[in-house]
Amino acid sequence: MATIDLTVPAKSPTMTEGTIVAWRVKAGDLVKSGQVVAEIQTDKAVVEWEALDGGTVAELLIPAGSIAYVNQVAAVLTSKPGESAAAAIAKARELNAQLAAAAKGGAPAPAPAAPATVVLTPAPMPTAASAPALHPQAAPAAAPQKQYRITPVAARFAAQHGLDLAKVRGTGPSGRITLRDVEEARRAGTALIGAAPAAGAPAKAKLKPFRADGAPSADQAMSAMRQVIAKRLAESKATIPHFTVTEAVDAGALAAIKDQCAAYDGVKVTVNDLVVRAAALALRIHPRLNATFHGTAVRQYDSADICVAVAIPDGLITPIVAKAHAKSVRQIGDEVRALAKKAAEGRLQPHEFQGGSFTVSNLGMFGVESFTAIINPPQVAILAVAGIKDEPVVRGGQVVAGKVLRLTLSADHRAVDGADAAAFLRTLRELLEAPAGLLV
Amino acid sequence: MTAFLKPRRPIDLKREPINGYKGIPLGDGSQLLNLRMAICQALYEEMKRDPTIFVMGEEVAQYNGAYKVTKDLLKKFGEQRVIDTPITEGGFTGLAVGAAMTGLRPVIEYMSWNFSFVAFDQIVSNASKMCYMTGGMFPIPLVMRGPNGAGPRVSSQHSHAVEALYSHFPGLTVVSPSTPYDAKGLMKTALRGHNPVCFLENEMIYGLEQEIPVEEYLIPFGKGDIKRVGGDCTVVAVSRSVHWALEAAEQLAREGIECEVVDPRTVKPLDIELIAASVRKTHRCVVVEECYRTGGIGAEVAAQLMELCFDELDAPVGRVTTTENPMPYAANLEHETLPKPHRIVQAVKLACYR
Repeated sequence: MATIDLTVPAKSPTMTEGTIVAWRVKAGDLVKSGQVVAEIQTDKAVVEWEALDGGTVAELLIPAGSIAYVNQVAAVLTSKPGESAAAAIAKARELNAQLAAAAKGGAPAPAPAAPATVVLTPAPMPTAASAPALHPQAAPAAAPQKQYRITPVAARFAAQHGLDLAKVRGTGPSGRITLRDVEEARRAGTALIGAAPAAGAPAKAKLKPFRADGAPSADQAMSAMRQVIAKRLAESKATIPHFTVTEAVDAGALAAIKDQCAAYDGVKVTVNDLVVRAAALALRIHPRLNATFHGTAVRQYDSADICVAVAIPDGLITPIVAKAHAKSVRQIGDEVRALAKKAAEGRLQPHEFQGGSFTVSNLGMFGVESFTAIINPPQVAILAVAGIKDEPVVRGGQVVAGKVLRLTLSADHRAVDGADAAAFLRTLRELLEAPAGLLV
Repeated sequence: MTAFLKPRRPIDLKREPINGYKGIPLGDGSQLLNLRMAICQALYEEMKRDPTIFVMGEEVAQYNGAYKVTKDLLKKFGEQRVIDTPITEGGFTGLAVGAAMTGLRPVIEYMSWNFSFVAFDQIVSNASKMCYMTGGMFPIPLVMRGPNGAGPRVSSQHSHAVEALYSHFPGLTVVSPSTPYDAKGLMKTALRGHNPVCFLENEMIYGLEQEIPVEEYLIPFGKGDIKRVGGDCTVVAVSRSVHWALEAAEQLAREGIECEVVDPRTVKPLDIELIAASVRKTHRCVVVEECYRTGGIGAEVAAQLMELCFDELDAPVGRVTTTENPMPYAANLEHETLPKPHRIVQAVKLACYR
């Protein structure tokens, strides 16, 4: 004799609402713990939602295609088939209405069912006076709500600064959220996408007729993703002391290698694949750039996990080529294309775009001469890859026709210095000018 | 932070004393001495001031003390006030309690605090309870002093640290200084109090040299001292452990972790407010001690921190103690048993999630 609420989970660190794309279960179905019950569109991707508890579906409260606010009750289960769940359903509908109203800026969100639980609600977090204590045993069985492993001082800090713990990644043992994590989250914002403002302009732009009277057209509401990008990049650019160093690479050999690979076995190798490979190797030589910045500490990584900025409709995302230093050019290329495809379909899983130790942003396909990128915090550097241009180059005292690729590194001066950036770029140039080394 | 500075120069062993009550004047109001001399000087000054103070123990008179802490006191004050006893800790502790009841101020030396165990009943049941059980008629102004903690390779029976043990009993004050400055100021306070004091010295730092003021000063009980300022992790330590903590702190500083080393100086009363103030700043705490882990100083500090500033903690309070085994005789095993700097470094890193 018990009912179970399936509450909408925060499926990404920045999610406060989502859309139920499709239900995989219907009323009367038996659901096992861990079973996928629905697909949810978050602010970043479409993800599968697994039920934490099992039971028989009494009613689906949020229809497919509707907006679902985090913590709303999407479905009510009963522990036995045929059991009445009318009371639980009525209560859930009331809660859902309150949460929806709160999300739209109306009535405040209802108080968490148990004050001893840190509850993710769209309303402001409790103040210090009602700072969440953490007693897992106090969680109400009927309303499983998100709980966090967090240290006492971090919980207090989060409450004082109105931080949403769902957006904070815990770096302590078993994902424990520590003071450093919440301080960092406050400083840097918490969304994990954002990099160079790569624009997905079409190859042949069509002229859009402007209004004759010149009056502004209606405001376009920004998508959740666009808002996250706006916040993240503004914070990055405003708080990180960026400096940039540009290097020109004699790219004759690099361009030749593309053709040779294609001729060899139809293998498609792009300049980007080669640059990612070269960057991964260069990061092993210059680990100071393979790092993240944490206020009073810089964390270096023993793996070159390279984010590659990918343009998607109305935004961009930076999926990660993990352990790029241990992958061949071909593996890197295949992986980047697979990730880009998933990104375009909104199907990236969180682990595929959260984290990373370095970012490569490439506008080479637009043939630009050079550009600078905005650092993807907490990383300390981002590489902007321009297009290969036909230019006069000097070889053996003679000006000859050559190919030049310009690379611009933006680095966080709090963590690295100009000499580090210059040394890294020199290694990168050497690797790209003699690219055979990238293929072994 | 009180004077905890490396002396401008070390004692010249060929021309200058390394024991006795006379410090080496440096001409600017300061004097150079080591920890053993600092205690001797405190005894000398207070015995001169107060004729009711007398010193008693094994070899304290003719032999100047097993560790030369009572050097020249016999010569200065005579055999009425500096008395050699037989090897009978139980006997002379009882005698001292009786003497204190008559209004005298005995100072007794245990050649090692390990030997206080045969006088345990006198200390715990008589010295610390007499005042209460006589309705305040007989306060016991008794100072029990001697070396505490592990010596070099003296094995299981002679390596105990008793701070936590004696702190357990109401009625006892437990003092455990780490520097000459602290030792002198605390000993003088002990000699002017009205209750029994366990004054725990450490053989391994008797030779530690420091410049201290020539002018008289006292250090009250229950007031700790910050031996090193830092913002990342509070390290609480007493006695010899302070020096291990400072060594670890230097090493950690090179890795970007700044420790604040807090020396409570008296384990009972414990300056928990000073420790808590530091933890409110650093949010992390590691306690280092030569006592054992179970029921040790670390257990007490951790519990009190939890009560006082639970919401300030960013990591569980770490404890680096003597491991819970009989002290091995082998030097390499002794090294691993004691709370040495390498273990402190590890514990601090753990607390800092590093």
